[in-house]
Amino acid sequence: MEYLLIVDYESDAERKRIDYAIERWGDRAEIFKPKGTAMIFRGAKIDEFLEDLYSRLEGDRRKVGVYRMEEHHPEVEEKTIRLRYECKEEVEVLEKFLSYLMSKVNAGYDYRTGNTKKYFVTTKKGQASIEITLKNNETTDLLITVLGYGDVVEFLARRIGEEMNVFLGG
Amino acid sequence: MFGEGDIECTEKLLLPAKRVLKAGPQIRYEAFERRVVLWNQIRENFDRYQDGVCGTFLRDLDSHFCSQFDAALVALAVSVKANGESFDAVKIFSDEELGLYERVERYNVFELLTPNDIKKRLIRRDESLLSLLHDHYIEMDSWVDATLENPEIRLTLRGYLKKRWGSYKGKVNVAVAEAVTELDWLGGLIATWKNETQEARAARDDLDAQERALREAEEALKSRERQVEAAMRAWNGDGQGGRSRYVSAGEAMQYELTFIGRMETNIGDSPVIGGKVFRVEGIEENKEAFPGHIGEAGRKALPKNRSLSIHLVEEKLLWGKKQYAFNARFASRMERYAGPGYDCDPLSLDDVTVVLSDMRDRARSSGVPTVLCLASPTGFERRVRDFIDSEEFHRNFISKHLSLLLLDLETGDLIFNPADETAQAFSGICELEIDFERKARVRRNVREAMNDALKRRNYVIFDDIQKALGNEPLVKSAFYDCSADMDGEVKFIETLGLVMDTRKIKGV
Repeated sequence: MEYLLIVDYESDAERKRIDYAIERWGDRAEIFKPKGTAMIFRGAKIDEFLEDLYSRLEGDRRKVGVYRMEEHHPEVEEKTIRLRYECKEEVEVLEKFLSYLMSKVNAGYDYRTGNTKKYFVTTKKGQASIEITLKNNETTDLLITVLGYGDVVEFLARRIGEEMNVFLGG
Repeated sequence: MFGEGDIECTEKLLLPAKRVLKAGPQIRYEAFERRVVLWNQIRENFDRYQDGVCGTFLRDLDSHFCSQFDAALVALAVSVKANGESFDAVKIFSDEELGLYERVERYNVFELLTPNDIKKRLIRRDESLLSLLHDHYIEMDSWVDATLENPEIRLTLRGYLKKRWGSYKGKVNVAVAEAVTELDWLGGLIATWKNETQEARAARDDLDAQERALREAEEALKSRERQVEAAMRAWNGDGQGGRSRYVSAGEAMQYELTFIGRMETNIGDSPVIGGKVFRVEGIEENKEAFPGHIGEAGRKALPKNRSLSIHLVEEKLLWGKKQYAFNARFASRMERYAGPGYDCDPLSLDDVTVVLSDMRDRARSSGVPTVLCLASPTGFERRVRDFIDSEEFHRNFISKHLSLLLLDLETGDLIFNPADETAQAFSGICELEIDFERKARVRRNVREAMNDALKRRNYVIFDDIQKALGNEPLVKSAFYDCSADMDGEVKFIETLGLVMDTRKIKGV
């Protein structure tokens, strides 16, 4: 089975990350970037277009590869891991610790909505976002949600979990 | 006093930012995690400030607070870059923003120094201070001014760094002004730097002007290329051999006078034709009247289709003297020169046969063998050539009363039926005298210029060749010759003039 992937990247760094991903997958699948110019033809008159195209090309017409395509809906969903804690520590203490924890996992503050602060992390395993929600009732309820694709989600959730356990004395 | 804002609350939010600003570029020596914490705190506090947690302030004060948040963040971003660390969040700042902070903060040493300290260092000829001053006088001032006007850089950052630069600059100027009165060499040094700046600025202006001129020339060239492309696209070849020449009224008049003058000279008083000496018995010049309405000035600017009728009798004592009526006739379409002012079509078979039929009838009734040399400034279309000198000999024109020679005045080609001995005998008289060495040299140059042009596109514009090689009369004839050798089609296109097109042979 062959698939055509079109990735619309925004920066050179993103393009490089795509190249690394292709390289990493080299032993699991045959992935290559098509040489020449790739195009998507939408319309019924493909044969007429090809006739015109062949008439413009020098040499062998076998240099044109033509495939019929249909959209593939990948069964890949964003992963979410939620870590819930109930703490006796005061909110200020907990906030300080969380601030330290975020710096340790290299997470940059993005924005806040209500009681939730959102951070963004780039690691060697990929990118993910972290949401931290604090609620102060009789105890302090803490919810840490890690969202993203691939191994990075488990990796970050494990690191955060370990640090939290040490902090909470679990 | 401050709008409805709470200063104390804002000061509290600004604490981490102020800490970073106080450290300046030295913040890079803090641990990475610590700087990430500071980054997140400043971002969060800035977020809260902008959400109005501390109320709202008047615009100036608000700009001042915002610029402190942003300046602290850019200082942290610069530290991440300087340490080669990886923290993607700092990518909210562009390279220009980081550069502006780095360059201005090179001068932060002036924060510590009083004007007196600066003077002392100048007396010591402190190298690092002199280097900063050199940059300050040479380029910093204008660079900072230009950068502060760059709309791509956050306004808050521009505001903060403008103030910083202003305070450093003020201190430097005061200290230098005092030191100059005591240190003669410093005044000289600064004057040299300023000269360097002026020279550099003049050189830069000069370079800018050159670049601008180059860009304009490029643009003009591109625009002409676009016009040429459009004209070539719009032009549909008719494939009939028409519109393959361009001769203006002035050129046609020149050709006419040259032709008539040469024929008179070539005939002379006693020409030798076919090895026999002839005597000119009578010579008569006629002009054709322009059939349309045109003023005197317009009439003067037109070719007149002059013709020379020369009666030749063999120089022989006894009877049986051979006679010829030689008619040298310039044939142009006068109405074209009177209308658009040029002709771009070779003479057609119809044009030639009208003249031919008339001459043949007159020759037949006079009983004197007649030789007609018909000269055209725009040449003759292929069908005419085939009519006289085709490979199907049985179809070629031949008459015992009339011999015909066709002369293309632009290319110098002389066409006649080789089977017609009389025409052959007169060919020496009708031929244009051309310096063959000169013609070969011009032709070589034209061919090179055309080949160069063909490397860039599939057609050659005669005007370009003429511009490159000068307005030499043989250039046009060489252009036609080379076009024929290259199997190109020469066409006259209204907006471009003469063009040799190779698109058909290349299958484009």
